[in-house]
Amino acid sequence: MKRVFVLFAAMLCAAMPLMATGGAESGAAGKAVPKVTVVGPGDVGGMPAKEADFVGRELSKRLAIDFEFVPILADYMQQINVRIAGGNPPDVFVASDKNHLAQIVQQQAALQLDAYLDQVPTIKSKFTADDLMKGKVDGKLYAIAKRPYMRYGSFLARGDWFQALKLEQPKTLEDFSAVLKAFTFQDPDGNGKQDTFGVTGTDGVNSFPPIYGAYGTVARGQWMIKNNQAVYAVTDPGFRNAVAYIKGLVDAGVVDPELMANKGSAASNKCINGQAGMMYGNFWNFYKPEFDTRIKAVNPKASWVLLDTVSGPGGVRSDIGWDVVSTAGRYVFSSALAKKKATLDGALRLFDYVTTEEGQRLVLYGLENVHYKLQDGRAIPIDEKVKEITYLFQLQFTGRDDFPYLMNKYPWSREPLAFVQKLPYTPIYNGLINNPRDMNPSDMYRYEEEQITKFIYGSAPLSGWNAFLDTMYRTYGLQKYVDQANANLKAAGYLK
Amino acid sequence: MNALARRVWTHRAFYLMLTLPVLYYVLFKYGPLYGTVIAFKDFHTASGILGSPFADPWYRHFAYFFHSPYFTQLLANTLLISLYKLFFGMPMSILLAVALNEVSRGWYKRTIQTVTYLPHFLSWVIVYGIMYALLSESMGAVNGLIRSLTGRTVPFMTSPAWFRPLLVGSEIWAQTGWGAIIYLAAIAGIDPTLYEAAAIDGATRIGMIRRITLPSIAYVIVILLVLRMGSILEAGFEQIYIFYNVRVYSVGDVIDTWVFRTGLEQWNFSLASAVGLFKSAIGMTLMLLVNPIARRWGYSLW
Amino acid sequence: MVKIRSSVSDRVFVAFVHAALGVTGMLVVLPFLYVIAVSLTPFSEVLRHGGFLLVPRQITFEAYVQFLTRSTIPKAYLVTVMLTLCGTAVNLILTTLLAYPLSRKTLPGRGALLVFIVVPMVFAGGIIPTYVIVRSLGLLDSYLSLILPGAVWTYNAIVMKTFFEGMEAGLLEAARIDGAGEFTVLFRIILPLSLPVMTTIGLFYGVAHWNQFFAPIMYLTTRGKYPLQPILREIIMGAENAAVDAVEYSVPPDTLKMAAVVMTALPVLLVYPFLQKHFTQGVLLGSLKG
Repeated sequence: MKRVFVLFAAMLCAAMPLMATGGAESGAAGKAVPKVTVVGPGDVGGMPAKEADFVGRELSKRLAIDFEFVPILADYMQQINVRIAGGNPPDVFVASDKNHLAQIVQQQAALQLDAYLDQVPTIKSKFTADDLMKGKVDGKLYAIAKRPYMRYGSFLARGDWFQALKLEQPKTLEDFSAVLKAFTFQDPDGNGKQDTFGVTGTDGVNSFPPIYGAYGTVARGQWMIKNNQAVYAVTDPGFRNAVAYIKGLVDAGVVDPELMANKGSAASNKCINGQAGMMYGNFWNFYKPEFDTRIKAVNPKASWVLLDTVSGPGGVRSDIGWDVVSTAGRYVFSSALAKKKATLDGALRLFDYVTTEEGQRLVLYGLENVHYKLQDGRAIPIDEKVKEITYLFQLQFTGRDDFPYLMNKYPWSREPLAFVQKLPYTPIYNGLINNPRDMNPSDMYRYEEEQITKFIYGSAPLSGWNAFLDTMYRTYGLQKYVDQANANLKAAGYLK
Repeated sequence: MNALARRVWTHRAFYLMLTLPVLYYVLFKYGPLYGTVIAFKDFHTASGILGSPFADPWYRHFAYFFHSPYFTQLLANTLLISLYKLFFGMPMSILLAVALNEVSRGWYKRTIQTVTYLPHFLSWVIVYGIMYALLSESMGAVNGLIRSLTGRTVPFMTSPAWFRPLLVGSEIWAQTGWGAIIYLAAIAGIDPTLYEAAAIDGATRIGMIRRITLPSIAYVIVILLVLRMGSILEAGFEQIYIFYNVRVYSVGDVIDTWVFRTGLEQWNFSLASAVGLFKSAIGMTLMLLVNPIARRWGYSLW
Repeated sequence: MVKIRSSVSDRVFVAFVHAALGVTGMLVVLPFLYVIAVSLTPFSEVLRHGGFLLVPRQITFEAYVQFLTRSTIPKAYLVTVMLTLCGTAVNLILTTLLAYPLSRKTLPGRGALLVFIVVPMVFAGGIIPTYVIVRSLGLLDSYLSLILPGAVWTYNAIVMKTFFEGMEAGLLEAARIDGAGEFTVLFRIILPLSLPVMTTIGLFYGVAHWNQFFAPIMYLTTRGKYPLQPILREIIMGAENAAVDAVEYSVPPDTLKMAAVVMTALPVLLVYPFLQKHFTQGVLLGSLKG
């Protein structure tokens, strides 16, 4: 007993100094350079530790700063909010969406950037007025909005099942149901068992964007403009019909029974293991070598194809609602930087640098002659090293010219990429619309989702749709949101 | 007065012992308490907690919570889930500890004990994944069995009827072993000669459990119960957040999940704080009510 | 010890208990077989079986290699071990210093003290005020921020106090008559006899330190200082939040998640059996009675 006690005490004494200083963690570049930390939602799993982040270290070297990017995977909003509220905001951080940015500005936690635009000449020249506008609140620039990615989403389906059942890709909603029924009941994988079903998804009621599109509307929670008015998806008559159609699919038994309970990769796992024949998603998740090997390992004959949109009543078709102000992240500079000139300067230089051609080459392709070779001004990635640079997308703070980049790095993606860009889409305006002050939409969202789910699964008859809308207006104050949306869109110039 | 001073003096060593812990409590437990005032203010980061203006009216955030269309449902769900877990979970832990005590072979006892507390280490995300794999309608083993017997499947993951049993069941599975540890330690403190004496008197093992084991750990059980009352409105946020989905909101949405969606995600710390205060007040009241009852039986918290 | 002759009904009862425990053990261990099986099987095999396996058909350690070679892992192990040892030491010392005086029923102010520690157990300031306090003490980004704020759990202190109260009063009286000071009594007599409760409470604190992920995420701003759990959480939640628009998100396969779970839980599971023997203290207490 005494021995244990002594041992314990000894370990405690030895470790305490270590604990107090937080370990030997000193910047390699010496103490003189300012530390610039950028925090944002990110793929923590893919991000290497600071010492192993060769691009980060290179940036530190070239810009004479001590740079680190800290990705946060889960509960980003909560963490960032607590840090801001607790008085310890990161130097640069990401606002999750328009509303979050507005809140941050209201809390005076964001530095107004208009005065500093001249310090970032590259950004100033490369960003269009539209790009800059995405980071503005009430006309003032508070965030640098990362240039958006291209669209990657569409319905994907088992090409080999089409072949096995001798079916064509669906063109109308009727075709669509027929295909799903065939996928479910006609044993497309030819193993003699009815162990497949037509379609799955991870997004609950929003798992089938093109179906909403076929009825001339958009997914739950999205705002469109019709007849010079802001329209909340649920109130659009087409939405009700879309819900009825989805209910039909569920009743026919062609939809994954766990649709609403799917979390994370559950749905795509069902696709990979051959249970589901269709899913709306990102084609990268099926074509990327990492996933392709998994798919082929389960079933070497499996092939996934992208589906075109299907047309609904009146020949209307649309793949997805795409936000006119879509951005891949709004980077906010903490208002505390106003007092930390060296850090602010370092951060601004960092952002500007990753937008320059030289900087872009670094954060897109890695280190020259290690990860890529320069040929006629174009960067040609070295194949064996491509795996090492996948995490770099998190360091592309101002975005990139998506198409040339993807063509360069993943030339095989040309076809699916071009296909997706040609799909019709419906512009939505959520990025421009704020919540009315003093209104908290969370109870309304819950009611909406719950009701729609009940309609789809038959726990509530569709005849009650109007009563449902009525409650939205009366109990949850939907009109206030509509009024606010109209005001926002008018101010932004989208309504006359 | 003199007698008191003398008593304090004789106990001076104890006060010395208490200095560090009390300092800790003042700094880290009472220090943050000033923050509960957020519940009555409109919290503004730039002004900090003290500088933020008081809400108008002061009960605004509480009112928002009470006036939510879901208030009664949230309260009911929270209470029910918490009480189910207590009612089914506590006896299971006690039972396990008592049962383990009846095993004399060291290796068997140690193995079973280690095995039963293993699940405590699994995060709920993993447990959900396991549950999903077992209970899914399309490919779960359990439903496979049910389908071969009855031709139909049971929607465990999406049916409101199954959600609470799933919550309580998985909690019992995960925590029974861990919860038994404290009862095992209590049982270890029972004087073995009591058992010997009872054996000589011809008592059966069951009799010994009833007359010796259980009464000897009754004090621990009661104390833990009283303590548990303080967190009566804790239904297990993390587990529920990971397990729930839209279809089971009506039976599974609890106060904490609502606050998470409404409060923290919307930057409404004042609301979160107000609700926290509400939960604490209820918990405290319950503890104050239950402790005197416990004292009547001879065991009390204070 | 006198050999107890058992009757038939007793033997049946004991056999039944053994059986029931065995069944319970198996039920509980089943999901673990699943975790281990998945961690040892190639991911494609896992998918082929619909994600559910109990016995691995092919064994590969690929997932474990993947996990252990992540650049953030080796340091994280070291950090977690140090944190657990130091943290638990601090916990036990402070909790004992609190619980022992409280267990003396003659202590003036005992009732008030009890109220003093119970109130903050029920009323908590919340995340932000605690964060502000930690920040004002200059503890941000240091490991002390993971040890100090949770140094004493009132719950554990009360349990410990309850155990101390249950100890033989006669022992202490005997010691005091011999002229021992309170500190001597505590160290020489109480502590050696308190092994069960120390082990139990120590286990509670220790496991809590080992599994800690929220405080590190909140207070440690340097990723390099992370202990195991935040990293584990990242891996497990990896697929949950993969954005549709990010081409290059890595989605950790289920096998990696399971390997991570095993490797994170393993050390504690290995330590526990050594602690278990300290639970059987009853014998010693009895012999001192006479």
